[in-house]
Amino acid sequence: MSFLAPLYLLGIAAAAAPIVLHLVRRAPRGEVVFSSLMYLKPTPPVSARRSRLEHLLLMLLRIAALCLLAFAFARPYLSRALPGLLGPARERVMVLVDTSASMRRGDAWPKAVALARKAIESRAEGDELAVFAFDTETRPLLAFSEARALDPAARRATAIARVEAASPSWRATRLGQALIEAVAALDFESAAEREQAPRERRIVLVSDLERGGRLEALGDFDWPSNVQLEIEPVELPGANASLTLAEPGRAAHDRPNEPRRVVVSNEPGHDQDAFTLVWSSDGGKPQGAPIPVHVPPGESRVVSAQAPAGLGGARVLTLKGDAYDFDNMVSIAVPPAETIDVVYLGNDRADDPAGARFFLERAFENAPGRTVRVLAEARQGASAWPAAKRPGLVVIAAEPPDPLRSQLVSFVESGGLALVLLGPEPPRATLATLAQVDPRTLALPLVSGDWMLGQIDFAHPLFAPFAGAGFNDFTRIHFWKICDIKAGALGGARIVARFESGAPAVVELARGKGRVVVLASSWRPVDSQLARSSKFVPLLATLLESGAPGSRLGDRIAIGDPVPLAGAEPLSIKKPDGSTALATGVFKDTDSPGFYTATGSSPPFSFAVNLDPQEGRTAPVAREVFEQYGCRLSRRAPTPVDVAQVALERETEQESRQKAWRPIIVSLLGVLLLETLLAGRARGRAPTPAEAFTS
Amino acid sequence: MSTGEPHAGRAEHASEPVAAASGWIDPVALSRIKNLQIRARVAVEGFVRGIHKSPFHGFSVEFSEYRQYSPGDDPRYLDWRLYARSDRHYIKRFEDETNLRTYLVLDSSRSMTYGSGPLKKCDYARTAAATLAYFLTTQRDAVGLALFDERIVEFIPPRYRPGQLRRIMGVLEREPAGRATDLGTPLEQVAATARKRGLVIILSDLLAPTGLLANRLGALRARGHEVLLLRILDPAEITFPFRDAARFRDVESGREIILDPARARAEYMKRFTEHAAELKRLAVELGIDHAQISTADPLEVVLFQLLGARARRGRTTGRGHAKPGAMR
Repeated sequence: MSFLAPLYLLGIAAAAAPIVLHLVRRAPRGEVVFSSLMYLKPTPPVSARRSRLEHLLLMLLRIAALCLLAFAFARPYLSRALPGLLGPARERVMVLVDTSASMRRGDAWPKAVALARKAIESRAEGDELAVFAFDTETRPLLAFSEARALDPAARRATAIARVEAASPSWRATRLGQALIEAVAALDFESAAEREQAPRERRIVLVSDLERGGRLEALGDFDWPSNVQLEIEPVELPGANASLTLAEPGRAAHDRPNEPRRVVVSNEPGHDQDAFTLVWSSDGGKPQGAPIPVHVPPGESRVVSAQAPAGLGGARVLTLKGDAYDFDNMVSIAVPPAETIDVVYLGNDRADDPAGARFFLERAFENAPGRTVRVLAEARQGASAWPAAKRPGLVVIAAEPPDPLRSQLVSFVESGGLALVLLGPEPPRATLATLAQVDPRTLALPLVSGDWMLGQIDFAHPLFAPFAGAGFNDFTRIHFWKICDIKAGALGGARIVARFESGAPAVVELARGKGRVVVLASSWRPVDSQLARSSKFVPLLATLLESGAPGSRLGDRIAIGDPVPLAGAEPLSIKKPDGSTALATGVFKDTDSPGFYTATGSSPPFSFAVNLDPQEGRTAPVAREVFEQYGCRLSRRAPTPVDVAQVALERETEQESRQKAWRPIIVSLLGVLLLETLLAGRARGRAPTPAEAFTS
Repeated sequence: MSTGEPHAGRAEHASEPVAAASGWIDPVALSRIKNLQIRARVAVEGFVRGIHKSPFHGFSVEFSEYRQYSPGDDPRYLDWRLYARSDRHYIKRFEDETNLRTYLVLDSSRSMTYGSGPLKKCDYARTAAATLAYFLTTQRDAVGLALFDERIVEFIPPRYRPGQLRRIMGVLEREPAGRATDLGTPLEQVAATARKRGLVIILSDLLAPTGLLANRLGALRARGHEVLLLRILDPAEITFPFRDAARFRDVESGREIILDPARARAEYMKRFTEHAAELKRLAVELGIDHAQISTADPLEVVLFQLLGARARRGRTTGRGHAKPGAMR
């Protein structure tokens, strides 16, 4: 039996009061009116033994009432040892440190290291400990398995050393995803380990909790009941302003000297609202006049910033006036103007609106930032296509002459891109050659009817730009004449789209280093509505760009995004810090903002990598938001200092669960009722007529 | 009929259960009859009527005796026929029934308001006075009333005439408002007022020293009055049944004393008995009918015994002949 408020037991001393009061002899309180006192003289009462006994019972009841009251106020409870309450409770603890770009602000990182160190040092030796870092992805600094292999005494020192060795990256924050992965890592153990592992798990999150941390990933996550989240916020004074591109990638399609739209955001609570934008070349001095921008705290402004004349293709726009400058710069790579040749191998004239060439030439008109020439001089007997340089795309609408066919094969094998149209004159022999199948087995029967595209692989680069909900409606494009490509007729070709009948509509073949895209119809107006649909121009532009990836990325790449590269040969990519990396097909090492230059291809090209726009939203998220997402928030770990507080909380919980004061209060009421009855009975015992009348 | 005066039928009906049970009317039940006159009539119907003989000789049909005329006699009463026959003057005397002149002297002091039960002493006394007045009126006797506490506060001379009974009832229905009891002064006033001989019925609790009482009662007796002393007491005053210690307050003076009844009872009973014995001795000495009545006793039984005893004794005015003990 324990008491939650034992001081109230002192109230039992009040039990002396009834004893004293019962010892004090008092004048009788009752009054009797009598006709005459002529026969009477004062005779003070002397307690009889019997009445004393009755009063003793009353006194005992009154003492009992006071004792019960004091007892109830002391809130007694039966203390039961709850497992893992106060003893050397072992926990499986993960310290999750934010290393995103926002941690580069001011002294955020030193503070984060200090908090992580404190969290690690507060752990008991018996705890299982791991340290993870997160930004866009979550990575272990000290995994559970590694920590378990360490000497328990050295475990915490190692963990602290790993944190101190880490540094914030330029990547964006994916806090929600990091928490999910942390929970998974807490549970990631073998069945044998699970038996021994502590049941209580804890994630100590050291982060600036920025709003742009994409916490919404927790929305569908079912937070485990045995994992507690302890938040150690990195708090910084002041607020942040950020600069981001309004339309990333726009530079590739704009003319070089058009003004560029950027967004200046000012976080709530910032004491600044006047900023300036300054242009400069990459690593160069500021150029042109500063552009003043007024943005009240908590708001954003879109600003059209006109670059000064003479600025090169690698431009930097910087926001001045903000204390935290990690997100105050955007790099804009303006690709140089270029001319791309598209070879058309067909028999129709350029001015024939019933043919395919007519629409092909018009599809590439007015392409921003580049000039596309459609060359269609190939005729029977021609030995080579007229392009002086390597074309970006070869469109085959009719069977080309044999010399051209061999040139086409070598073009594709060396990494070129060809588009085969299976129109009224399907180039069966060329297709068979490119697909490396027997022409005699390749049956391409023309079928008339009415079809739509029924199944499209939007993951394919050709259709990826149309994957959005507003652009993926291809049902208005009808096909009336198609070639029925039998399954397996083209070997290991990838079917990118099918007609609603299930017949392949768009097929991609790989040949050597290049690719061949086969359209099982044509865009001639008599064959289909493709040329007259809104999808035609972007589809061809995407196809043309896929022949030379990377060259026109401009500034659409954010930190951590993979960059597709053309060709199968490795490219040497120079990073902003001057280091060089080799990449083939995809370059993934976009780990810092600035300009990247790829050499090894002809011509060399540059692209800019910028910070994730969300990373500038540094205002902290409230703790309640975590609770709304279902996280079980806890206070700090129960350090020895807090043991008494924790013990008190547990005692309070036990007491409130048992509620022993209730039966005590009921007993008290019973005693009071009994006391009232007895007292009333003692007073009104055997009432005489006179007493009854006068009372 | 929740309010207003109950009629005779209802009064009889109200008294029926008690009367049926014991043969007599319970005083409490009787006191429930609001109208005092009806209450009195109900009580009167319960006892035998008494007959009073006039102590005077006067006009009557019943001849008593002749007496020789002496100067100063009223010549109207000369028997002229006898004078014609015998030439002597004789006065003709008759024995005639005449009005009894009755004075009801009622104590209205504060102590009469005491009652340990539902019935107060004053209620009982008023009912008794009203009953006697009604009874005497039906006997064609003259009835008067004197209400006193420390002095006479109301006095109605005895008369037999229409309206007299109603006046008496009106006075009796008033609540007593006096304070202390002092029999001396009121009895002196009664003696001074009642010049003609008659019956003086004193209804009081006599909770007062007997000092002057003897002189005043003696003065009444000396004037030829018959005196009937009815001492009306509450049962609690007779037995003192209290048990628990309490503050006892005098209803007249307001004086309070702290009392343990268990210890005080013996002393009380001793002094009470002594006082009662003193009163009794006084009554015997003066030839006064004396009765002690408890408010628990049925009224008509008391009056029956009282008046019955008087009727049996006849008109006795001599000292030392009263038998008060016969009434109880």
